[in-house]
Amino acid sequence: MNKNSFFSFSRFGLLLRNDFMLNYKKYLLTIAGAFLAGILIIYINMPSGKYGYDFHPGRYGDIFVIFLIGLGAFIGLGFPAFSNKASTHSYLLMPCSTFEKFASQFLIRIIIGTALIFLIFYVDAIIVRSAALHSLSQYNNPAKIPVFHFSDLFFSYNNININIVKYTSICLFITLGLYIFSVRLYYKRLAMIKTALTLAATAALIALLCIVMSHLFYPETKGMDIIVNDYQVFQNISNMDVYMYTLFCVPIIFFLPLGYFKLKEKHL
Amino acid sequence: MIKIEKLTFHYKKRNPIFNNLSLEFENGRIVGLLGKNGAGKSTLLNLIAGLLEPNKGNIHVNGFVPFGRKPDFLSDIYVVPEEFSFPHINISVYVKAFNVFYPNFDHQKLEAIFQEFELNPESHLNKLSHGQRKKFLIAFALATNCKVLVLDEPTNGLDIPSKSQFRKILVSSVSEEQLVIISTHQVKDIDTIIDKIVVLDEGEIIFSETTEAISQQLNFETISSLNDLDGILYKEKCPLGYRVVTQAKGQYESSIDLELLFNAIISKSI
Repeated sequence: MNKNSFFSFSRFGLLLRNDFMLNYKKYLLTIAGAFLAGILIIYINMPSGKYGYDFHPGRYGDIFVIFLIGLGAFIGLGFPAFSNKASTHSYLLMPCSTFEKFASQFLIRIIIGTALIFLIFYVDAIIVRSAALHSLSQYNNPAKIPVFHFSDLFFSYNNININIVKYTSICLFITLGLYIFSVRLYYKRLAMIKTALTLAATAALIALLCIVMSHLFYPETKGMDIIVNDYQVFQNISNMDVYMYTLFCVPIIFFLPLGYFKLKEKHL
Repeated sequence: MIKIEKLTFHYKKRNPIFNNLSLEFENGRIVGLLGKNGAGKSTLLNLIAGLLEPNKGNIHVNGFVPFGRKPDFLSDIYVVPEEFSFPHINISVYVKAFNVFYPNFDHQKLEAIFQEFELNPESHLNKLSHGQRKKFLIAFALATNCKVLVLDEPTNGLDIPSKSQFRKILVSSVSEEQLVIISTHQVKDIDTIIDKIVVLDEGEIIFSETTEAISQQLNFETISSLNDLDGILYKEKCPLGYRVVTQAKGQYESSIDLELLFNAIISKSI
């Protein structure tokens, strides 16, 4: 295989340069919008003035989910050239390999996007905490707001099995990101909306399958209930752990090749 | 060079557009790909560019299979589509962002064409008229010096002076190593620049001949009365009488009336 026709660093660099030259205003506006929206979202959720009580560090993780939805939207808007026929035409004919095109969007939308969303959240959390503390002190409100640590996003609630929360959450976010990134390539118009709908349909089908299975194996199941018999498969690993890992981790292996080959076979 | 062998293609759930189509284009030519609306011209160009995959048969462009869309293939073919869209940037930024992908890009040629077309590099692409944007795209395409240039309806949207500028620029810009395919149904716009005519009808090549051979074989003229002439292959009424195609008798070569020739071919008179 001629490696140069598959991947070349110089061409990849030129492709990234091209993307930033064409879209830098859009990216800057997105970052500014995410920054301001983040400040607003965190501030609404923090105690301030004479209202509110102690802020549990786990709340940072809850708020961060909203940021992740925003990140999902940013990822879903990847491959913007495919929004119309004319731009699809010029994008597909751009002299770079399919892998370079796929990798450039992966880098911009997933790697840089994820790094930025963490950074924006971190900066927002520090700024809003300072503002909220200032506001609390003015009203002598004794509510406490802990400093944000990245570990708060995954390990804050001691009453939940930390392993499940830690690993399955990370896998879930990665899987969802890759799903949105890859499956949107199957659609031409309104790709992000259609991708979200297929995601919802997939989730509904999994839930339906669980309900059907519950009715089959546990006749006492009522209505839409899901019954799962929890037991230890290995030491400290339950069947639910295995199920969650399988559901959230295994698709990661498939989504990227799925997206790559779809892009490779993309027609006008 | 483009070689198409036994090409079969159909869009999903539709009848075949091409069935066993074979065709060859050599470098150093400006080919006029003519046909009625829906004849399959744009589809053929998309197949050549690698934007569509053949159902059966082979296409080779400069030794590459187009649908593989290898970078080396893509950097040596430039397609000016009929419909296009640009990012919200000005001409010079567009040139900086895209010229780097074409190793033979000629900035001097681009500047010369810009001057000819009266294009300002600082103009915002989306604030230009459709015709000006098309002129920019043609200028960029010619400056890439790609071995294969595909122009789909290049004169659509161009005003009359621009059409003649286009012809002049195209002829002076294209080298012997390049192959230019111009697809159009506005045959009059390109009649003086093409050196091969290919007519596509209902997915089949119904005519493929060099202009040199056509001039030697056919005669095009306007006559006041049909009584004066024998061996008329095709005729059309016009204000001065009749425009006719006759068999050339070897005395002199008339200039090709492309519109008349096209109509004669489509009506199967030739």
